[in-house]
Amino acid sequence: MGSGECVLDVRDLATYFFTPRGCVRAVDGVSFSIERGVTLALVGESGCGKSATALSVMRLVPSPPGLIVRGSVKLDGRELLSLSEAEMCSVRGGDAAMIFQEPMTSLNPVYTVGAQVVEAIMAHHAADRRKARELAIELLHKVGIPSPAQRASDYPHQLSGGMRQRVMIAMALAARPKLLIADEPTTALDVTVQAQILDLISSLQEELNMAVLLITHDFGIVRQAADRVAVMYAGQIVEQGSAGEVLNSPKHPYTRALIDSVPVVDAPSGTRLVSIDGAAPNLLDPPAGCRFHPRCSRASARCREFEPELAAVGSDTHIARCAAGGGLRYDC
Amino acid sequence: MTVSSMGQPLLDVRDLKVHFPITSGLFRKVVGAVRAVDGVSFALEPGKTFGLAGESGCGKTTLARAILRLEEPTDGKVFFDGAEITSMSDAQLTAVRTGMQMVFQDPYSSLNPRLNVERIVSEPLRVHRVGTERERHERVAELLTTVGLPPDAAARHPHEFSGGQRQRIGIARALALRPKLIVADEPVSSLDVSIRAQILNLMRNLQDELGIAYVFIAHDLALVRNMSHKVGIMYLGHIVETASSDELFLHPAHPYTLALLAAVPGAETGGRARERARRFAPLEGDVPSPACPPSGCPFHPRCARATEECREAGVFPPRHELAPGHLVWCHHPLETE
Repeated sequence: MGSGECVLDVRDLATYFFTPRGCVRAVDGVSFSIERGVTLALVGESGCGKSATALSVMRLVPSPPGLIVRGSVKLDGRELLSLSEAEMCSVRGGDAAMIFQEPMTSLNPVYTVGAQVVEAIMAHHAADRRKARELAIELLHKVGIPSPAQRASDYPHQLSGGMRQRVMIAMALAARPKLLIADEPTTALDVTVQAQILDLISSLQEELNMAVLLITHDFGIVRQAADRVAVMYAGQIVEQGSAGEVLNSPKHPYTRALIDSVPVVDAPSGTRLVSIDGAAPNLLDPPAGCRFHPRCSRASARCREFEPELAAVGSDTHIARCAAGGGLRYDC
Repeated sequence: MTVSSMGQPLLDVRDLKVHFPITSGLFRKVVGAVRAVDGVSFALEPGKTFGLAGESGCGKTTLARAILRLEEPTDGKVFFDGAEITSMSDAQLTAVRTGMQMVFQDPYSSLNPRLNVERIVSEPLRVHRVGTERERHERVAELLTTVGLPPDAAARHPHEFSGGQRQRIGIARALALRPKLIVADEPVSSLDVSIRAQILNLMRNLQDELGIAYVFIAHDLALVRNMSHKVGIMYLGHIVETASSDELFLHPAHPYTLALLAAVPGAETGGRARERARRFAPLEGDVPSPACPPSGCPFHPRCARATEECREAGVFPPRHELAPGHLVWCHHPLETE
């Protein structure tokens, strides 16, 4: 793991969306921190608030209707939530960069990819255009784009999905960020290309000693790429720990069910999958007590009434939000 | 006695080809062809699942559509229940289609938002004039129960349902005519992880109870292994390796199969095949365009084992039978000791 120097520290972050139908508590008291050189995977199903968490860190939540209502986001000790918009602009793409799921929609179709990388460089360095173009080609080479000088004059539609994601990564790395947020970076890609992109991210992480916040729903990716894992459900972190702790001895029933519901390629054909009944709750009106209790096979009367808090389970780095799994707050 | 009850395959695909013409200029002159499916053969027994896996653009979906003749095959034959459907007239085809149905990838765009669930699920019955209005109504209620939806779902519209529930509606519609074969094209890839297992378990229960055979298409190898009895790995319009599911994943012999396996993230606990796969060079580059596939073995530009004979123009690699039913099309298959 990293040198212990904390790059990103998020405390009690809450982001609500004020819609005509009511207040959606998309992120509801999320805390985590990532050290230099460490990858934290934020895992969960769609709608659990993992992307909203990432957007809140970058202060990119569309407002209105979204609003960061409380909490603190410190990047290298600097509070991001109190920065002015202009100051925040220099943080984005500077110390903190983000790559997205769909590299086609994240690139501008009417500019060449070279021009877009140049723009990213010039936004943060006062380089002249020719120097920036040289730098851009160097970056494209670094992210594994063959014949980068020619590819720089291609438009996004002329590149494959994997190549587009490489361009996005090149832009993100233009200012050698301390933090890279990757929001489902390989979901739109084929499995062979996904392996290439994950390899690329981890080798660049090593080189730049970046902290990486990796958002995914795929436990295979977590197992391969993450040092630490935080599992989100209905706007809250329900379990957090080292990748080994969470994957090998999950303490929250949701984490366990999520892991068991995914087929693994090494299991024989016909292996029965565990399914989680029902669907994720509506965040306009989350269930009282533990938010997972309506779908939990171990729920007791207590789970329906009291909202459990994150508590240490086993080791002091491993925490879970479960009355039964944690066994510390409400023993049942 | 029908052919299928004598141990004959329910579905027999022989050297199927689907080429799409590339046209150019004012008069739309044909200047080439996208060889989406280029000579695929496989057979599927009643009540079993044939899984098709491969990267996007390898021709999985076109093959699925051609099996149902939703796409007109360029060449080759498809036998369903002993009858050759590739030469049938539209009228004959309509009769045969009651036995073969499809479940689509996207449960949002594959259900008509203006119709209620009763209309959607009963549509195949009405198209094929099965039963009276009353009987159809009863059948819909029965189908909704089968797929685990409440009976009051019949009066509601698709937008009132979640993705997983919509896919259940799509499955109910596919079951309406009591088909022997369902072609499922990425049926769970647009669903959330916790919902996927629900749909997969439902599909498996239906197979056990109703004896339905599936052609199951997915890009996720773990899913394909889990759901299939037999698996075919597709690359650029060809099946390059096929075997029973566990045989294929334990003893992969085609370098492409091995490369696909090596790319599956995070399987630390791999068996010996995975161990070998990881030591194998990772796959570089992208899938070539099926409009101008590489000569010789279509995989040779990305293959670490490629030699001169793999590049030889016009020569497709020979077929090796490594074990009963385990076929691989490769000049240099990996030994499966």
